[in-house]
Amino acid sequence: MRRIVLVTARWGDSHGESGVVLRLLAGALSGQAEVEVVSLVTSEPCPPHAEAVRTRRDSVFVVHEVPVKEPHRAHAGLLRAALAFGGGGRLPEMSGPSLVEVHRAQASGVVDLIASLGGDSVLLAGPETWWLPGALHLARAAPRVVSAPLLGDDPLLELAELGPLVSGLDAVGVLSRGERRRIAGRAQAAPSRLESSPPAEIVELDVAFAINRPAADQLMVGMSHFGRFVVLLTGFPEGSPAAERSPGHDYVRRLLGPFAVAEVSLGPWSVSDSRQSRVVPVKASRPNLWKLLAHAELCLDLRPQGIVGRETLESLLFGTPVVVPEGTVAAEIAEASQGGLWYRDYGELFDAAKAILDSPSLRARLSREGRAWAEQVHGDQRRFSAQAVRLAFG
Amino acid sequence: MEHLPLDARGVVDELRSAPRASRSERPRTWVPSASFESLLADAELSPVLLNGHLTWLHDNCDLTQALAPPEGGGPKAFVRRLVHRAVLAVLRPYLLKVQDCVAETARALDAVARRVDDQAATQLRTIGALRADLVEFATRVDERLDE
Repeated sequence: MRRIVLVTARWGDSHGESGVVLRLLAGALSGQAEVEVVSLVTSEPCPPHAEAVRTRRDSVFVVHEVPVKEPHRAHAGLLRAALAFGGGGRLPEMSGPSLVEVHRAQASGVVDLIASLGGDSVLLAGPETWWLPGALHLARAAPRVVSAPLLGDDPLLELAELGPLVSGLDAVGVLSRGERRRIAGRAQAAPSRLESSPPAEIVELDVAFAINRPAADQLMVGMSHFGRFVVLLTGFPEGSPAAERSPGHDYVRRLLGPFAVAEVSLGPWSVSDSRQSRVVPVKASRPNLWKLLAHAELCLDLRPQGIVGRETLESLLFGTPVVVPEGTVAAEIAEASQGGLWYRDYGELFDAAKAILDSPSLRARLSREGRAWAEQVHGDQRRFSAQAVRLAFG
Repeated sequence: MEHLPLDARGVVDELRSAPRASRSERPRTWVPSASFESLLADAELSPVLLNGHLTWLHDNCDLTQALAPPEGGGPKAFVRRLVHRAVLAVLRPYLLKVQDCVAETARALDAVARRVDDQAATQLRTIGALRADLVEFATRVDERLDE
C-alpha cells in the first residue's frame, strides 16, 4: 500500500476549519494509502528538555508530534507590520502569536523524520510549512512533494516567503476558486525552484462534508414557540473570531419584520420575535446548528469567513439560502451555486434578506439551485477521495 | 420580486442599483478624528513573544551543558572532575530546582506575552472597525440631512 506523510502545524480540533479540512483530507486518503501525520506542535511553549518526537495513534492515523522552537525575532515583527499596513490598508486577521508561529515552525530533525517514514509522497499543509520544500529538496527526502497552503483569501499568500509552497512542487491543492486564482497568479510570479521543473499542477479539492439529515429533521428544542425564523450566524464554532461589527440581534429582528431571529453566537444562543425573547436551552453543537439550518427561511452570516465556508455549504445542503459577506469564500460559493446572495455592508445585507423573504419564488429557486449544487460538488465523498489521491500521488 | 433575473449576481446587481444609486461613498462634511490614524500608524507592532530578553531566557535556561563534567585529559582535568563530582554531590538537587524554576518562569512569561500580543492585535482591529463604523454613520447622517 502506498504511504503519504502529511506535515502540518494545524492538526487537531483547536485549528478551526483548517483542522477539520485536514482530518477530512487524511480520511479521504486513508482508504487508498497509509497516512502518517507529522504534527508541528507550536501552540504550547516549548519546555527546555522537550522530547524530540512523540508518536501516538489518532483514529486510523499515526501522529508524530514534533515540538518546534527557535523563533526568528525580526521576521515576525516585520511580517505583522507589512500585513497591517499593506494591501489596501487591511488590518491582519491573524493574531501576533499566529504570525510568530508561521515563522517559528522550523523544527530540527523534522526533515530526517519525514525521510525515515519513507512516504511515496509528502503533503505540506498550511503556511507554517513554508520552509520545508527547500529543505526536503536538498535532503532528497521524498519522491513527490505536494502542498495545500490552506490560505483561502488570507493576505498572507502575498508574502514572498510563501512562494515555495505554490511553485516548484509536484502539485498544489486548493479549496476554493478564489484560492486557485490567487495561487495560479502567485506561482506565475514566483521563480521556479528548478529551472527545468514544470509548473505545479493545481488540484481542486471539493471537501465533502457529511451532514446528518435524520438528526436535523427535528425542530431544535425551544423553537416550537416561534414561527418562521432566520438564522443569524455571529460566531460558530467556539474559538472562531467574533464578528466585530455585528448590527445586533434586536436590530436585525426589527428590520426583518414578522420573522423570528435565531442567533448562533460564541455565547449562549438566543431566539426572539416581536413578542418574546429566549435563550436557547441547548449547548452549542454541530447537530443543533443543523437543526436550525434545516428549518430556517434564510441564513445570514456576519462572521469573518474561513478557508472553505463550511457553514455556508451545510446551509445549502439543507436547502436554506444564504446571505454572506462579499469577497469571501462563502460569497464564491453563493455565486457558484446560485444558492444565495452577498453583501458589502449591512444596508445591502438587509436589502438581500428582505428580497429573499418577500419573494417565495426567489427563495425556492435559491434553495433548489443551492442544494443541487452543494450535493453534487460537496456531498460526494468518492469524488473528494479521488481528488485527494490525485493531489497526493498524481 | 418575480421579475428578478435567475442568476444570483443579477439579483445582487439589481438590488444594488435600485436604492443606492444616489449614495455617496464617503461623508462630505465630517470624518473621524485624525487620532484614529495616529493610533493605527504609531501602534507598537513588534510581538512581545519575540522580546530579546525572553528569547535569551529560552536560549539559556537549559543548564545541562553547565552541569556536565569537565572534559579533557591529564592530572588537572582529573582533579577538576573530582571537584565537579564533589560539588555536584551537594548542589545537584538545588541546581536542578533552580533550572526547573527558570523553565517555569520562561513558560509563564510566554503565556503572558501571547495574551498581550493577542490583545494588541484585537485592539488594532477594533480601532479599525470603530473608525469604519463612524465613517458609515457619518454617511447616513449626511443622507438624512439631504432628505
